[in-house]
Amino acid sequence: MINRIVPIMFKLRRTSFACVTRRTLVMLFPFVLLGSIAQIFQVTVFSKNGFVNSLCNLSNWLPHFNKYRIFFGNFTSLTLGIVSMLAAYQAAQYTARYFHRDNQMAGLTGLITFLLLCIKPLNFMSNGISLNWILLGSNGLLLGLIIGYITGWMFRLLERPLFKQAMRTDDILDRAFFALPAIFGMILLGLIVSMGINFLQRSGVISNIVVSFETFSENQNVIWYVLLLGVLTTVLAWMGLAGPYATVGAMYTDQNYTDNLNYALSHKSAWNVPHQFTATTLYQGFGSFGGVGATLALIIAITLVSHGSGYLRVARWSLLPAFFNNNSPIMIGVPLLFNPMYIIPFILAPLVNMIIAAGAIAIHIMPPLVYPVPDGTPGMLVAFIGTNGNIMALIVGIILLGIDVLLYLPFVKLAERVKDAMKEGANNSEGT
Amino acid sequence: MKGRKKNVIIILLCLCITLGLSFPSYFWTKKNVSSLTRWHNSKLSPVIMIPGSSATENRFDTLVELLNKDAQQQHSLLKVKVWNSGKITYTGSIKPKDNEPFIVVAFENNKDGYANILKQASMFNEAFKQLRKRYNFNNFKGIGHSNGGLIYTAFLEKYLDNDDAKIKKLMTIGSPFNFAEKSTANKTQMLADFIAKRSKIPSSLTVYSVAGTKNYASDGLVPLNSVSAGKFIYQDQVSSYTEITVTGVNAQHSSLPQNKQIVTLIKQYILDENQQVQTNKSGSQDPNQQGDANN
Repeated sequence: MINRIVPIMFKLRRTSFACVTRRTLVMLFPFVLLGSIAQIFQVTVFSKNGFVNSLCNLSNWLPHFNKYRIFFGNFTSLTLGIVSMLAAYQAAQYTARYFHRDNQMAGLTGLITFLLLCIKPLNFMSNGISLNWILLGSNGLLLGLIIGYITGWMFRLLERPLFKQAMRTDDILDRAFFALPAIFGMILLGLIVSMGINFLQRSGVISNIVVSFETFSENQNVIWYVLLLGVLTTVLAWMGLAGPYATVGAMYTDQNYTDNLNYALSHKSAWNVPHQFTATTLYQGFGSFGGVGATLALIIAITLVSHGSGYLRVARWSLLPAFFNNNSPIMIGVPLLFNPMYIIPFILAPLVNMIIAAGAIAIHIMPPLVYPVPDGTPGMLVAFIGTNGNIMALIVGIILLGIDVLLYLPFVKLAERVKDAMKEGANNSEGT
Repeated sequence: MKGRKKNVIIILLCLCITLGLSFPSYFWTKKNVSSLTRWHNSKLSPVIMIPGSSATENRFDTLVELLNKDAQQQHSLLKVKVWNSGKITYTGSIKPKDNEPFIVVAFENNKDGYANILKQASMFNEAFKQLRKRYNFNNFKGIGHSNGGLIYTAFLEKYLDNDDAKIKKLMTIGSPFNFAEKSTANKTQMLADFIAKRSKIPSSLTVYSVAGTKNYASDGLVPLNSVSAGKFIYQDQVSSYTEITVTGVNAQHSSLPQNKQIVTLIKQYILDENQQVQTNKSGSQDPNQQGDANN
């Protein structure tokens, strides 16, 4: 079985899109890592509802408390917040290089095309261009990569291959004129698509879809829908998109959460709240240790079995963010994004967690999570705090983390084998 | 291997710190939950609007559209209609994650007159009780246009104290507290009744009374002095009572709800500030604020 999977993975990894994706993501890693750490400071330490601030009341005695938050927030916005734009640049550059075209021109073209798609519908109240920042951040990664890849292809189709490295100004000018048709083609394409998106947005199609989707997720009080939407969230996260339950730092709250909290507060007990199995009680409390996909377990699994110093180092640096439920560094560093190797445990671990947590709630081992939890609380403590300090919730959480590690272990081993096979392949091809 | 050892040490350290943090977390959540239980404040805080006479539940559509334009957080709109039979119907819905929806309560019997206003206040009370049950909010904000402000006043004096939901702010827009009387010397029966029972109005409330002026004396329908008569009811009874006069384009009585200054006033005074998402923001809030609104 494994012997059959390894060559398939091996082949998948050698497709041009996979190569470009992997290289692009690796280049983004340092920015994402720094941005994530700044985000922890922004959300957990220097925000009013943040975990650290809640515990030590920093805002009461630390002067300029808000300024720190703004500082870290700005830093996050300009690293993590523009990661898709960087991805468009890098992906275009690598694709062009892959096809032996002018990679720098392609990179810049990819960047501009991506920005064109991020323009918000023109608004007569404000002057200047306003950009859709949500798309520029990690939610637009897929779009950024695709734009970059298409740009690279456009250069392959419309530009003559480069034979020499441009050294003098004249050569650079030549390059510019060679690239002109491809640049023009890409920007035209970007403008047309951008206008199409704006038209859809103005006619309300997109927001209607989003609203009906949210209402759908809202009205379901059945455990199956919660599990289904949890799976959807992880699948979309795997593709670099934000799913229904994806939140940064803050808790996912909906009408069910409000009902539960009101019930628990007026009855002074969390045990018999009206909605036992909700996004908050299952997914928020147990389905996302280390962010979407329970990546904290992956970091531990890598630590236990990986023998390449690269993975170990990525795991080490991603650990702190993952403790605060920020999975961006590990998603990009391994990378987990678009990586078929890890999709099974990535979906399975949160699902298993949610099912076991539902069981534990059903047989009254622990109460459901109903009380408010500070923003940016470490994943392990979310359920503990949300159940008003129920020790069983903490123990169930630790057991689930162990199960997740066991789920991830075989896949980390598999990844190691594929990597070894790649290395051998590279050595052989070099040898011949 | 050296790298692995480092990782193991860091992971164990993190786990220990987490377990260590569980103690302060425990005390924090105990304290937080007990203070929440004492002051049980729901996150959901709707803005409940009542239209004036002969207006339907669609009266505030344009206003809501204007408020949602350029807003980071979109407010949903739920329309409630109370029929004379006592039946209550709903259109629209409250989106999940929306903590500040707009709810419009309109009546099949939307006639003018004091007797009708008392009837509408009692119908509003029924709708309000049902809304409370459905959505579990325990605080809200009110906006009443024209007679809607009178219905609100009657509701606050007659019904609200039976309930444990708290009204935080109330804005009346062009509400004729003295009906069509131009002089406050002649008090109508309604105004006299309102003044007599003013002590029932919650003292923690903040009230804004907005008047429109088309000419110097009225908004084309309601005399300025009739709007000003609200001070006899609210001033010194509520924690703060402010009268605001809006002039210029769209200051005529029936177009007040879509008046640009009034939209800005609602944004500024009625809506909660903490609604904005604190992640990346590109948006300008409302660039053209203040200035010509207050005179």
